[in-house]
Amino acid sequence: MQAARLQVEALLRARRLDRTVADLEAPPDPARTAPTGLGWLDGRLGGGWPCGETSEVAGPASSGRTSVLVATLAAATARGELVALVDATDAFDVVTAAAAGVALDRVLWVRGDPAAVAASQPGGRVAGLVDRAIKAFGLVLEAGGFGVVVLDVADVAPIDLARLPFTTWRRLQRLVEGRDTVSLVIAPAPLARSARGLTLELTASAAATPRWEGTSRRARRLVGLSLTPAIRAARRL
Amino acid sequence: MCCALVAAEATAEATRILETVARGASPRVEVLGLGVVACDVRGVKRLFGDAAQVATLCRAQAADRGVVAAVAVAATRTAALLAALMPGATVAAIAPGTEAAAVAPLPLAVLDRLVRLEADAAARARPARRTPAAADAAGVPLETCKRWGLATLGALAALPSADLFERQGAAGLAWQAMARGADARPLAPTAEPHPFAATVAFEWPIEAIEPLSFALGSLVDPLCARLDRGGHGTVTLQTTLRLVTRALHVRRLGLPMPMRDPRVLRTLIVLDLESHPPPAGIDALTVTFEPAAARVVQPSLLARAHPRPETIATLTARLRAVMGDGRVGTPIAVDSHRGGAMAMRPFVGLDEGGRGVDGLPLAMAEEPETPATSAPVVALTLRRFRQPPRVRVELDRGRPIRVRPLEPGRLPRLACLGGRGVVRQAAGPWRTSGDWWRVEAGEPGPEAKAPEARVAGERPAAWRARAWRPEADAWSHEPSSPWDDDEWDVVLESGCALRLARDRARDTWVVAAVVD
Repeated sequence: MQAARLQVEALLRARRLDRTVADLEAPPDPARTAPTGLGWLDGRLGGGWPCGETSEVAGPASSGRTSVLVATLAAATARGELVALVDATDAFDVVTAAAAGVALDRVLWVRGDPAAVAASQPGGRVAGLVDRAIKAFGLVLEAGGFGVVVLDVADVAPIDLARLPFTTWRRLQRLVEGRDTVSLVIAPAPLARSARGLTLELTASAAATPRWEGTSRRARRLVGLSLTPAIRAARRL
Repeated sequence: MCCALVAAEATAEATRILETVARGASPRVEVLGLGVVACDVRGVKRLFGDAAQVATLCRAQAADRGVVAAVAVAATRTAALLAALMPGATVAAIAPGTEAAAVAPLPLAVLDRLVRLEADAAARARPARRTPAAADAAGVPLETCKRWGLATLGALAALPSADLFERQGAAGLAWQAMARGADARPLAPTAEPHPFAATVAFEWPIEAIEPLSFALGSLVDPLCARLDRGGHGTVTLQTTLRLVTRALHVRRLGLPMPMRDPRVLRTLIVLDLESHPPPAGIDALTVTFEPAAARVVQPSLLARAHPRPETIATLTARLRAVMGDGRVGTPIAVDSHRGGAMAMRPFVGLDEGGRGVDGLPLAMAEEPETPATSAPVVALTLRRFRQPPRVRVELDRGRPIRVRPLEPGRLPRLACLGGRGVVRQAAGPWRTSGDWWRVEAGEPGPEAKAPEARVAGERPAAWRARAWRPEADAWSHEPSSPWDDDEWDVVLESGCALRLARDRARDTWVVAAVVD
């Protein structure tokens, strides 16, 4: 058994695929993680998002995906890093991001075409939208030097994302391997995590997700969300 | 042997003409200041004659171009300049070895003017060119010389050097040497102004961009080599295409920092032409650079490596080619209460000192404070609809109780409305309005109707003054029409939280954003 395993690992290493399996059991290096800025989440992620890997935040609308994204961007820009956001459906809200502490002048924002977004139908024009976004995502990863690079396809139907060949995500992962960059995908369902990456799966609970402030009916206002996170990773968590 | 030309009127045009005349006589020309030019005329005797003939010829050529100039030729540069700077001088030729005697009758004011010219030239020059004498000489103390009874250069030259040094230091000795016609420094030739432009004409028209990239290489590479030799970079790239229709297709790219990497510049030009292709075949191609001092950057071993400006410029150009113009940049929060108001400006990353746009040194950036809370709670964050979808909202005593999309299944983001759309919780209304003064002030506000309650004639000017002024290079796709909305935060029974907006003028509802 041991000999077979060593042989498989040697073959993977020869084809530069060894990171997929061979070193999964190594503990995560705290110096190679990027904190999310959310203390409760960093503790569960083992320090933050792993650098040089593709991680993802998945969940339905109002599950808190964008809040985690914005917190990650805020923490990265506070560390002095440049960040990039490929916003396929042009949904980034500048005002709430700035209020959350994102240093906007360190953000490279790549926006999808709003006309294509408005006219998008599942399986229709949205396919071109996603293709362009993934191409832009690959260009930013290839350029390097960014602390966090995010692909936001949270508003694209899972059926459209499922049509993408798996090699797409593998190719993107190869671009970020060995770099001090966190590659993060925001999606409605898990689809793109690399072997050593993490998946943060959020659910929109009907019980008590929104958090309100104020007692009277007229003075009440929405101030945030309570998350229901579940973390998936290969073996080590 | 040096020839000095001094124009009667110190103007930029006269300086240019004198430089042209001087370059006709010698390739080694120095421009000291407005209207003062010197050139090295050693070895020109067989071409133009002796010193007097050279001076006469230069003066005549300047006069032909409309400039009255005094011209002097001497064995030393200082003697020639002093003789030419003498008020009322015309043509002078000083025999070698007689410089001190020739300049001795000149007043001290002439030396003072020359010393100031030298000081200005030294300040403009690179530090390596700066000589102690030129740096120290900030002007001759004429009042002091007058008290000492000195009126001419000859009197200054006759003073005992040791006593002069005791009273005026090294500068005093420098003045005395100049008063004797000796050179404080050699002639420092000024580089010939040569535009950073190159043109190639094709034997047959080029229809596609790809073959053009080969021609671009032959133009850009030599220009970048010249930039490199001069320690320059370019801050703008201008590409001019002469088309078969005789029209000119001009593209101008501004660069965030001076650059001189030929591969980067070539890529930027090609990407720009691919995004904005010429409407016809190309007959000729011209590339023009605008040189500027090159960046000097000291990378830090301790700070995180960031993308170089060349990398960022290439990346943003590639992204623009993929996503379209105006879709790539840095967001800017604008001073407005309009929901989702924002603008963009070009992404430059970091400045030369490794600082962000806000000036915060990145190596000293503070670590983010991690919230102490252990509860999985996040602050309110929105996902905006740039073109908000309309919805039908049922009300009960003015409060939303049910939300239904007018175009079901149009967007996955509104899939949460696919159920019954029953509102479980709601908060509002939060009323906002703005830009109504644009209509009242006659500014464009197309489909807007100013709310009747807002008529207040005395306020628009003041409000306009407070309005957000975009940065020079910023742009925005946001509407500028007036708005008057009631906003509601609602949570549906599916768990989806929405921000609804009701246009009070039209009584229509839209989903402005999804809380996420």
